[in-house]
Amino acid sequence: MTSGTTVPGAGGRDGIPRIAVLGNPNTGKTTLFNRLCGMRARTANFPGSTVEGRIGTHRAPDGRAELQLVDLPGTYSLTIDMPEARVCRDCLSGSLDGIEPNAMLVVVDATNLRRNLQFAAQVLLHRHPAVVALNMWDVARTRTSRVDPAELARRLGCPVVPVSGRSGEGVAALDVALDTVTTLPFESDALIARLQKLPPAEATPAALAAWSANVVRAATTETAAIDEDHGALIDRIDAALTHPLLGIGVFLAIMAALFAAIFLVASVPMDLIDFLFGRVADGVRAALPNGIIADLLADGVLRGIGGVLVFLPQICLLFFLVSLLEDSGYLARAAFAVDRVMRRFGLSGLSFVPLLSSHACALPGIMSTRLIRDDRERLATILVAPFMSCSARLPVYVLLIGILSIGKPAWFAGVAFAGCYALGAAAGLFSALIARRTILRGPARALVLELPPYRRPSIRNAALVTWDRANVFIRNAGTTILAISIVMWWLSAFPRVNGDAHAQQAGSFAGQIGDALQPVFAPLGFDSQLTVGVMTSFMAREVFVSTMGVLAGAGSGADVSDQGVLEQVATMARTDGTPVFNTATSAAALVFFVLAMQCLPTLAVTRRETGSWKWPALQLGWMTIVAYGAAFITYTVVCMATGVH
Amino acid sequence: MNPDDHVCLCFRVSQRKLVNFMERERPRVASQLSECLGAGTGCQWCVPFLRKLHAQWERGEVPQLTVAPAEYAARRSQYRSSGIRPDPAPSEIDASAPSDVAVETESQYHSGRESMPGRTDPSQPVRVPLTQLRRGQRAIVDCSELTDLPEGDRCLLHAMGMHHECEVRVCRPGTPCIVQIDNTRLGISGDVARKIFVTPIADSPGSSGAPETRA
Repeated sequence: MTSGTTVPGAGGRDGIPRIAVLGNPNTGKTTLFNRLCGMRARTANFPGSTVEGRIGTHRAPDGRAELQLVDLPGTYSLTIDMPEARVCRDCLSGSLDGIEPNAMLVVVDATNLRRNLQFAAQVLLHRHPAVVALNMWDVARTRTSRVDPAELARRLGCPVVPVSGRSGEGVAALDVALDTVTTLPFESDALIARLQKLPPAEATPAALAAWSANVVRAATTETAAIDEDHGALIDRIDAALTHPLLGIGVFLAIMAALFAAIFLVASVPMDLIDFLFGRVADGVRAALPNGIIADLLADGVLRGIGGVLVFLPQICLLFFLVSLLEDSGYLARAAFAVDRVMRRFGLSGLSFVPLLSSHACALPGIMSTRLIRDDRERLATILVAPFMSCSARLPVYVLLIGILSIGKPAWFAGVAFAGCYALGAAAGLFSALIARRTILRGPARALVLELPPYRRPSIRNAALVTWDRANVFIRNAGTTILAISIVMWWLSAFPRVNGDAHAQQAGSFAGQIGDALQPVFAPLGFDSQLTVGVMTSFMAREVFVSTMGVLAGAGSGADVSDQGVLEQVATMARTDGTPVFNTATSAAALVFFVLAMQCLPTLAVTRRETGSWKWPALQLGWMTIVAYGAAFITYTVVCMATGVH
Repeated sequence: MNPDDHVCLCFRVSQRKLVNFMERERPRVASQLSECLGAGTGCQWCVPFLRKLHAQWERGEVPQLTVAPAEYAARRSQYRSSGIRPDPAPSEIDASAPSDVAVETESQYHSGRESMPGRTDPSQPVRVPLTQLRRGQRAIVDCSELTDLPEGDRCLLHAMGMHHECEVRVCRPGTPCIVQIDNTRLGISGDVARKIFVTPIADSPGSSGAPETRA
């Protein structure tokens, strides 16, 4: 699953002014961007880099002007050697192909002017017309110190608009300001006047800070007084959340609640999607004459898509809840809480964020390892990131755990689910430890992170993130997975064999491939159908479910076609009539999928990020060995425990 | 205490190193022992003990502390959490050591009973690692000392607002160390925070023993 598309070379339609949106992290930049662009935005990878940003269009309410906004990654400085800073620098200097901006929107946090203005000064040195958005104005207004936007504008040499991305206050004024800077000619006098007010590009950090403090002093009417009582309370909360024991406990509890919520809440829409696709497939079958076309549409296309879309609710819910957690300010504390634990495995709290996002998808996870400043630690994190249970594994987990938990108490599924995540994480951490003790020796680097203020998370932001991620997932389901589904249908439907469904299955190409490779997987209890499923999921593991759905559809005949995909797969039979998924096989397959490297895009990204085929080869080899070994042990143990064989 | 036991626990300066230093450098006043790997410039718990060692050496005795290392460390942590020096055992502080005024005025140290970390004479700033402040305490950062840090960490700290002579408030001492600069909270892992030196501000609420730190 790729996480986004690449920015097209020419950008949007001709003649639309393009505005680069810049700011420190945690300034509410993305909230403001969302306020301006709403759903008219998409995630994009900037050319020549792995940093993600978003591109959206904004139309003023009166429909007068249309603008393209480029949400650049938040960075603390333009001069530091980090990928985010590099992207911002390249964009402003026009060397980022296709997204050369016509103007800049600098988002500063009005409650934290002193640091934000240092960044603004660096940005304003670039030769584009600019608007400064004084964000979080609603909060800043309640503080004892009052910022005077007019004075600030005079000091910075560009318009300053107080706004609140959260409440939408001041956005209309920002519209006017953006419209003005993009339509009026930018005169060199104005630029020269602005440059004269700013500290020079070669200013030292201390000089920059002194300039900023000076501007803040001039533009505020009272010195900032920090609310001591409030601060003391937050100190206590911070201390608790980063506490070595309490912090980890809270973290585990929150993660358990998160997964429980995903499992419980998502089951309703999942059943609905499952039911609807089953009905539509029946309808297609009834409407069309019996034959290849009806089979292709009902078994190949609809079942394939349905088998993947059914997991959309869970993926949406995961992104929604993680986004809420991030927005609330908790995740940064969690990074410190787990830092101690990560350190034991030769990683640091910085590896925590990439590994956590790898639970969504290993691709953005591996890409975000560029934040890790130590090369060896970064390589170790990249190597083990695919062990984390990504959202593509979710469908497989749901299917196999669903089969395993038939006739078991309700809590069983939850425990098994958490167990899969724990197994993946543990395998990853121990692999990291082994790597850090052998091929990647070195000390773990220290962690320096901003702890954003606690706040009520924005539902709107979380919904937009979810929408974005769901789009990416659907695009994938609609292309790669659909293509593989159709190929799978073809492999299982041809060559045509006379006789019943089982004969067709055994005689088809899929059956032949399965038979040929089945001996390899026989020690894990996999039959030829399951072997086909595993082989097709090498390129993308989520294909497993649709493959099994297609195989089950082809294998079980029309009499059970009113069943949902899950149920149909669960009742699949081997050639000898016994179920494909008995307890031991399901457990072994589950363990195999938790640990196996079955994602071609991940290998490609690892190659790109490490610059050598050595690392993806190691990744593939190691994960396959671990997955096969663990699945074999699981199969043997479960067989002994249940007395089968 | 054995020669290899640490007298200055902040900077891990052993008794042997201090004795060798005195033999080699022949310090005229006890405060010059701070030049031996920064001994006594951290939490300042060991200052009276350094003074005792120096006095013994000046009298031509073999400098030797009698306190047991475990008890020494325990009392130091008590001192650091409460800011009050537990009453010393009679043998611990050398009664015969001259309470010389010269040391008292010349030295940047203060006698243990009168001083607490942070409550320092503003004219004689004492620099301590960031990790050694207490919750609620304020301090001025000295970025000229960040040279121990890797370039990347140093630039990041600057960009995040930790510039030379900025004021920080400690929200959570220890590891990770959480500090507040203006309205920004930074979490800094202990490895980095130990290498950031600050001058505590004398009248900050934490250093005067705010109730929360005593509780």
